Amino acid sequence: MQAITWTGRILSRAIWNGINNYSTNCTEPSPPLKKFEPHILSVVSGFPKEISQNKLKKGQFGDDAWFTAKFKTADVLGVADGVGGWRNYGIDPGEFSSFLMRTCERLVTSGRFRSAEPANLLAHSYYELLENKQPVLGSSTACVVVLNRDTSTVYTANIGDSGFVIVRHGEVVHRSEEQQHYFNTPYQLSLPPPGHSRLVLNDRPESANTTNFRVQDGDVILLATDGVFDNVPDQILLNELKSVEGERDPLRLQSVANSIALMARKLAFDQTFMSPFAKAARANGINIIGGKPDDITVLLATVAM
Amino acid sequence: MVDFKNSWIDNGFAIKGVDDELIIEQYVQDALDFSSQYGSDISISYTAYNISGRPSKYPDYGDFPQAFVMRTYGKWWDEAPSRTVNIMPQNSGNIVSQDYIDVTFEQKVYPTKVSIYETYNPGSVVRISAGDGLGMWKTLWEGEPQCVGPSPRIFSPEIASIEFMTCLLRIEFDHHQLDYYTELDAILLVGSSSPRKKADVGKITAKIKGMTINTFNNEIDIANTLNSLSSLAQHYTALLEDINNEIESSCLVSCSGPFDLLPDETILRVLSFLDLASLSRCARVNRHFNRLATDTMLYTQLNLKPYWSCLNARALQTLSTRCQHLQKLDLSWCGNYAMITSPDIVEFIQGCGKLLTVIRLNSCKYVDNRCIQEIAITCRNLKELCLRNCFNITPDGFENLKNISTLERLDLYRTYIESPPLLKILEASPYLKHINLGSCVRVSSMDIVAQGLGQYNRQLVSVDFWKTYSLTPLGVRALSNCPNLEEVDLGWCLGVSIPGDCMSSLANGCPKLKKLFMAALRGITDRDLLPFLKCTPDLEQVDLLGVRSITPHMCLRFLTTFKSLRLFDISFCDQIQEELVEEWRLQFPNVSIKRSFQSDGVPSPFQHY
Repeated sequence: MQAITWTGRILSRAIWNGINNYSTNCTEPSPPLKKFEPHILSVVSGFPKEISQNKLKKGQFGDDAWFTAKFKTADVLGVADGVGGWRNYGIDPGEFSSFLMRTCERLVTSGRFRSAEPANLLAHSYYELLENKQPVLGSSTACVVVLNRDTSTVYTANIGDSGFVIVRHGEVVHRSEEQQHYFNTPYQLSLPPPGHSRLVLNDRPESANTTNFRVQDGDVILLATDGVFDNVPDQILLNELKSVEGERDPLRLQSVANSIALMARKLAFDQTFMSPFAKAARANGINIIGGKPDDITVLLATVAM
Repeated sequence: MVDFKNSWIDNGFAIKGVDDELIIEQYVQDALDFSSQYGSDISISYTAYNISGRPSKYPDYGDFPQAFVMRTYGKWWDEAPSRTVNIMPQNSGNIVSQDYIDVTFEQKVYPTKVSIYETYNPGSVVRISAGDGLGMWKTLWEGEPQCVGPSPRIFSPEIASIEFMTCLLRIEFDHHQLDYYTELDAILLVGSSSPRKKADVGKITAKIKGMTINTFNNEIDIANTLNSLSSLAQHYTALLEDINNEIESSCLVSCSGPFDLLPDETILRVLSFLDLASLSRCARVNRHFNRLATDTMLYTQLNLKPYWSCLNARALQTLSTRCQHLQKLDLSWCGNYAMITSPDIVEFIQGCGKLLTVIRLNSCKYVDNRCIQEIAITCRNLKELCLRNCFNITPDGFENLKNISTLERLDLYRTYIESPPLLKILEASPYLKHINLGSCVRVSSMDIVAQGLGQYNRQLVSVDFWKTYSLTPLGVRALSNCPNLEEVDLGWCLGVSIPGDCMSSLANGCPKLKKLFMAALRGITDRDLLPFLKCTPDLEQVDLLGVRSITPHMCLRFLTTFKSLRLFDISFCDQIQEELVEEWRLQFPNVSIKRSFQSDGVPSPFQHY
């Protein structure tokens, strides 16, 4: 019973978040008489892992953070997943990921980036952390997708186990590669507290995995943190994504994003489910079953050329 | 008052028709030029760039990286060993400006209101001017800096009306009364598409207010007063030319009354207290006064910075005839927007540069290699050269400076100097005492430079490495070869973050240290600070901002050990509790203990994600 009430609450929160985002996208002023131009239609949905303890902040789900921004002919989406282990050191892991995404957003809206170089955007944003008087400590995975409308190409940069999937005609045509040092330990950007630097994995922003891919009208792009990919099996994800190919209605797109997020949330707490995470664990000789409770962020976008 | 509804368009300005005129509200499009910034050019945190666009933090109050921050506050920089001596202070008048920023807007308007969003330590704005982009400037407002409480504010003073449309504003600042760095979030320019009506009472009142009768303190008064009181000249420039023409054509006999009886030396002594504008006015009295007021002995020191808004090439040319014995020249801020060109400077230096010992050309964008070459050839006794923000000088240009062997002070803040020419200059300057290499982002290895300083410039007193990323403990260790060092600024030298034993070397090698800035050297620990307690008893200013791991114990030892400590910045030192700081403030009333903060207040309604 209780479960239903909180599900309802978080669902409404998720929808609120999504609509917020949708409205910012839609109210962004454009000359009224201009013809339709290619763009990305994007919505967001997600859940923090610990719902009760978290203030809901814009652009954040627990330790996850996300942003969408555009500049001239580029639409940029990004997600980052703050590494939770820092909580033991008295550091809020969400701060790092959030700062990273907020800075990316500032850099994009001010045009201080090149659409073909998303890794540089991540790197610039990361170095901006060092320039803050208040040290923002922690670490995070990050994934950024840039759609250049002039060339119909998406440029991506990925560090760690967040990622993206591009679906066309019911098939995955392009997806990110997971970067892990070892099981459940993704590549990560980090700023450790002084004295801890040797104990901490610190991957250079330049080590981001970069790709580029030509997209077509109707392609669906899913950008999500590991809370989604670890819990929702690929086939189910694909079925959902298929249903919004070419979708132009932000509300319908939103409902699919919500259902992916909710599904991930449910499976994460299902202790009998053989999740992708459990499968990977078994492949590494760790005998577990069930989902992996985690923060969940879903950025869902369709390409309209 | 017009009611502005927020009908925002893409780039942040609103248009609303009121009767037949258009009222336009717009935020800054770009920060065109500025004299200093806390942040670095390779980053966006605390940089001038942040002033553009809508407010991102207001009404939050605190020390945020999303704001524009300048390099100084309070009187600390005037008390540091690296302070410079003001040339011709009488020129500055009551309103002194230390920093400026030039901002542009998308649409040209007749300004009716300027609102400055100050999100941290407000009150330092002293002047707002509007420019036409071609070198003409008009003051919209000026006033002394204000002491206001620690809360965010939108500063929008009553502004004077001007006769031309503008999309360029210059804001000037005086930080002397500030308790800490001021931070600016945005600037809103409200203007109309048609000039204010002539019968506007507000305009006349503003004009009267703007005129300070009988005190000719600065160029603004000159301009205003001349405009209204005299039909002879509009600008200082015109005034100068006018005099010359008049003198050539006049053949009047001198009749200065009792002044004729006084010896020239006495009158010259009196005149030497006058500011430049008054001198020029004296030169108009008669031949006798003209001869005296243009005497070269009155022009051994020339500070033109307060006249930046009206100084042009012709004025410089006119002045050059009087500057045969010129020793100190401050041309900072003057001549931008094509008012003065590189050949003008070259000509001036050729004519008047022989005896120059001090040249300040801060923020003079037109200064290029040719100027530097001429300075290196002509000024054989040059002791001080300030080239802050001079972007047009290439490494080849800087290389000329190796021909000067008398340099004692060299300020290269935010220039494009590189390591090889810099090393040659250091090698050629055995008397070098002060060097500022802050934000010199093109120096590929600051370590080699620091080693050069340790090797060639043993008399060094102050060195500023602010925001230079290539300095490592190796370079810091080399500085310990300079026993006279009194000031080291290692702020944001992130390469020194893990200092090893270099702080110990520095403390042991430089016992005279008075100012030690180590902002954001995150890896500094108590152990690194211990040697200073033993070796450098004269410390007066210490900045440990963001040095996360220092303990209250060490801070207390600093406060008790250094009897002459005056400034102690322990902002963002996480282990120091606020209560302790309060206690220390009572216990050590002579020390100004700084604690900055970033607070997450109520989310701003202006904030857009």
